[in-house]
Amino acid sequence: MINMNVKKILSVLLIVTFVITFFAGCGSGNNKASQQSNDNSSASKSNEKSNGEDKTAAEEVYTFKMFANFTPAEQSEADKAFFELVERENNVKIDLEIPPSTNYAERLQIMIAGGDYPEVVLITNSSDKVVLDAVKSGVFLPLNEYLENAPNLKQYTYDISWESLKLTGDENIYGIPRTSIARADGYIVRKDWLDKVGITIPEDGAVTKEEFVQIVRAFTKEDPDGNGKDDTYGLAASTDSGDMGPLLAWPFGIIGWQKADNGPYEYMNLQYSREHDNYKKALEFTQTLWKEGLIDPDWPVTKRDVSMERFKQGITGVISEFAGWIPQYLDDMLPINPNVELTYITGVKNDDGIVEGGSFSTGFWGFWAITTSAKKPERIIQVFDWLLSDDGWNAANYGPEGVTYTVEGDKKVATDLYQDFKWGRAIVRRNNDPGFFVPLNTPSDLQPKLEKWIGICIDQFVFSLDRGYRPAAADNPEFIDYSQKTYAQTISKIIVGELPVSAYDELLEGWYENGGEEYVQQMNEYIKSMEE
Amino acid sequence: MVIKQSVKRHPSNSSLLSDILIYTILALIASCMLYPFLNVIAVSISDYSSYLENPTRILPGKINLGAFKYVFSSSLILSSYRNTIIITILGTLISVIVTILTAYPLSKKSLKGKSIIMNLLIFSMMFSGGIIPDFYLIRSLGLLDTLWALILPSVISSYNIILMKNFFTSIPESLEEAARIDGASDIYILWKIIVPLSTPIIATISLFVCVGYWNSYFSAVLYIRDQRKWTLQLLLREIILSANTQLLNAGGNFAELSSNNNPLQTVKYASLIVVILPILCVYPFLQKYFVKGIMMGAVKG
Amino acid sequence: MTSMKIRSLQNPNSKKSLLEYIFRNKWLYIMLIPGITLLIIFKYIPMYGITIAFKDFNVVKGIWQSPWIGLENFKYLFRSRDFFIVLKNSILISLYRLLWGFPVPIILALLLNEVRHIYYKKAIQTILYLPHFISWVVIVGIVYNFLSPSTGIVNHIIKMFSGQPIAFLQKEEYFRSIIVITDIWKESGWGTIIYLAAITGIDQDLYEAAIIDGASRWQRVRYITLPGIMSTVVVLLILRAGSILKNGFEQIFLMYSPLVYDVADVFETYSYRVGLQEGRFSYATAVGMFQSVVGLILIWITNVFAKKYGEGGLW
Repeated sequence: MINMNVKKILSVLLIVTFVITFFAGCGSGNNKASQQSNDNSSASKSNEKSNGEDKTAAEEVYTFKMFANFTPAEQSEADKAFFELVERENNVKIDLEIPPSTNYAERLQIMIAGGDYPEVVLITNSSDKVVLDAVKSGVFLPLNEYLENAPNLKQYTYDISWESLKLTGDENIYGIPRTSIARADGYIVRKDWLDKVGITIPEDGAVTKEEFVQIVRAFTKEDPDGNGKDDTYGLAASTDSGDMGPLLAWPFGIIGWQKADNGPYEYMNLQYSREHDNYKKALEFTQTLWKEGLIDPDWPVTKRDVSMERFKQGITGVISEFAGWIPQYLDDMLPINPNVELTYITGVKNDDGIVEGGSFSTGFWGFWAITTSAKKPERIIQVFDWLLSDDGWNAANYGPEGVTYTVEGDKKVATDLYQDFKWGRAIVRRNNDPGFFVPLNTPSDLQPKLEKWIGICIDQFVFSLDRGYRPAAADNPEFIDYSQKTYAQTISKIIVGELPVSAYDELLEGWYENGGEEYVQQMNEYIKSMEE
Repeated sequence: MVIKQSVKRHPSNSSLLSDILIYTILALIASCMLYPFLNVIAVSISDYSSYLENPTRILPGKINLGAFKYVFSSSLILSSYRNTIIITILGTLISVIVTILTAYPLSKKSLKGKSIIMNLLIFSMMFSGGIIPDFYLIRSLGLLDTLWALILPSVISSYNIILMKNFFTSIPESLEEAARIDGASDIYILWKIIVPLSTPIIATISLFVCVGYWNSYFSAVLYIRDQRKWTLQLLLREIILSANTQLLNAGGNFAELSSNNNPLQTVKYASLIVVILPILCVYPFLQKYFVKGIMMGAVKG
Repeated sequence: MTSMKIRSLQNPNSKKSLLEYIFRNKWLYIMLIPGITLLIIFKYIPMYGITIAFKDFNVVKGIWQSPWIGLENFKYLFRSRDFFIVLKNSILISLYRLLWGFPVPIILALLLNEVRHIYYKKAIQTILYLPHFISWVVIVGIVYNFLSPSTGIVNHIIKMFSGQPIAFLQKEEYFRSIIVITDIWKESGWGTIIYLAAITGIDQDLYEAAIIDGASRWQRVRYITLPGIMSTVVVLLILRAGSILKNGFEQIFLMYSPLVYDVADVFETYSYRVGLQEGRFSYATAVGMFQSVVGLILIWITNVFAKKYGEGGLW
């Protein structure tokens, strides 16, 4: 009995010792590894020659921390080289703090609550209450004075983006937009299916509503994959974060906040207009498609990534998508079915025969805020400005030359490291370079087509005038409850046919009663003030 | 104390019939439970097109270990494995010991102050301060960005303490009485008598605690800055879910997701296997503690 | 059972006796020190955070500086149009899971206990635990694949019998059942562990005596095994009562859609959509507090009943 106990105690001690040594071993190792940025940069700075940029010898290396939700979580070789380049060119040192992107919102909250702010923070949602509270409490610096010396930032950013960042209602701009090229995307379509059912789409990819229905109907009913089974559906669709809405809204004039042609308000989003029935028509259209079975029957419970999969599996034939992803789709689909061909519908025409639409109103995909921890905000702005200069943009777009690509003749050729270059591309963009979205290693036959399609999508884009504004009425609890439950629920029931389209009238009335009236009023005031 | 072996039972006819019934029912239920596991394994070792062809497969398609290679190629995989192993071993050790130490006095019917403590335990089981006060606490304790922040807060679990206490109260007091008469102290009684008799519950709680630490990720999200201190679950959740979170953040602006970022389903499944397998190996080791017969006869001594 | 005499108090009102008492039982109190210290540090020091429910919480101002709003959040909650639906869903789903799910691990444990073949028993046990380890994300994907009205095998079979495919996950009449069934499926195997541990604590002599007396297998289960684990069952039931208004967020969140909000929306999903997503931190905290208060009351009630029926409560 005693021996057993001694043995037990010894084994426990052994484990504990082993574990503690292990632990201690990692502990010391971690200190070296705790910085994301490389320590090489300080060495290279001592004997650096700047690339034609004018740098005063007296300028010191400025160190700042950057907090962002880059993915993937680990820094690749290509990104490491990129940041080294940025640091060299701008005489800075960037400490990267990259929290897990899956819980970025919680980390942002804790970061703000904690009071120990990194100098530069990526904000993903400009209407998040936590962010707005932080702005109002002065956590983020207004950047107007520094932007004076940032010609590239000014040149390559949409005006509307700056306006969207005037978050306190005055002239103060609270961030650097991460510009995203404003486009109204269309649909990727199975060209092999089109051939089988004998339909062609016009050169510019624009179709009418009737033609669209025709395609989707043929894809559902005429066995476009020729396998003798009735197992295909025309239109792919997904529901993310409880947003189920009409699948075709732009062709019905639902394009965000615009100048109203009648009604009590100067500006209106036709979705909320009592004087227009555009939205009801859009609902009806989708309802009809659903009833006829032309939409993926799993739509209400399908998330976006699954709907992409289903398209790749050949269950659906038309999917709302960005044209630049066609090469990726082909990569996934060709191994299963070598006959797959893809083409693109750039848009569906509205009643005036034009395609126009827009999916966001700020012109940016997140923005960079500079916090009060920054001792030299002007240096930070310079870095961002440099990234949009010709040299900087080259690096931000393609990565460091020689690392992610090489130049052969007058063309850039991607290296193996090209596809790992991710973080650098998630910092800033030029608003006039659609080539950004067409990767270097796109097959050469596809490249011109993609650029054409993307170009068309850019041209047909219409900015919604709300600039991402969140009126105070949106914080009204009744409004939130109504929108998040009753509204979402009723719309979905209308679409699947459980309720008639006319139920929308009552729903809209309820929306107005529960804070919608104030919402529209405040939105109008805001837009009016911005349009001046 | 005499510990007898259980008498070998001879099956009678009716026993045989009910045996078959029992074995069959269990087999049916088990096969339902087994299915998704087979599906996950099959997909994780197939290539992506095999998955697309038949997502519900249990037989692998074209074998392709690329998914596993991808997961293991992460520079953080080894460190996250190591971190998780450390906090699991340390955490389980500390937590089980503290749980035993806390449950035993509470199992004494007439200990003064017992109900206060029980109330404290139950109240804290139902209410908690939330992530921000927790964060402030860890920060003021200087534990930010350390593995201890992942271990210490979960050492106390009211649920586990209550379960263990309940088990302790079922041990006949006559045993303790006898030892006490012989002059044994409470500590001696606990370690030499109670614990050996409680191996089933200790093994159970150890398993619960062990799995809890192995799966922990949210505290790592909150308290860890250094990527090299990430836990396994955190790393793998990143791999699996980051694509979806990006989708939600994109706000309909699809181009903003570099398409390579969407890990194939095969990779997601491979990550799952990488996390599950080690912990599944723990249970068989603990199974030997679920042995009948330790208790009986003990009283007769 | 004779009640164990801890070297008890001679004169309960005397301070000297109290100190004497503590000293005589010093080891017991010392044993409690690590646990209580950790409890206070990690659970009670941060406890002030529950005041967020009574404040208009501003992240920057912090908890202390944010202004008080008293019971505003709760008043709003009870008045809101959705409260009863969410309450109803939370209770119903939780009760269904209790009703159908609570007995399953017990039954499985009893069945497993009757298996004499060691390897078969170990194999079945290990397989039963597997679903517990598979994350909801994966399980929901599998459920989706099975029940899909277009590609799912269940509907495939229905079509073979010339029925119309049913979109199970989109239908209010099926959704709750799917939630309950998948939850039972995932957790029952794991739930058997504690009962198997309890079974090992049963005196083997009782079984021998019963066999000698000619008791059948089912009689042995009913009169020996079942009562033997009853105290564990009761404790788990009491603890479970505390979660009466609680349901798993991830499971429901992954499977639901606006079409089934009326049957699926529970406090967790509701507070996520109208609380956390909209930055209404304090409202979300208030909802959680409501769930916990009700749970605490129920634990207390269940505990009283348990004591009444002689099983001994939690405290």
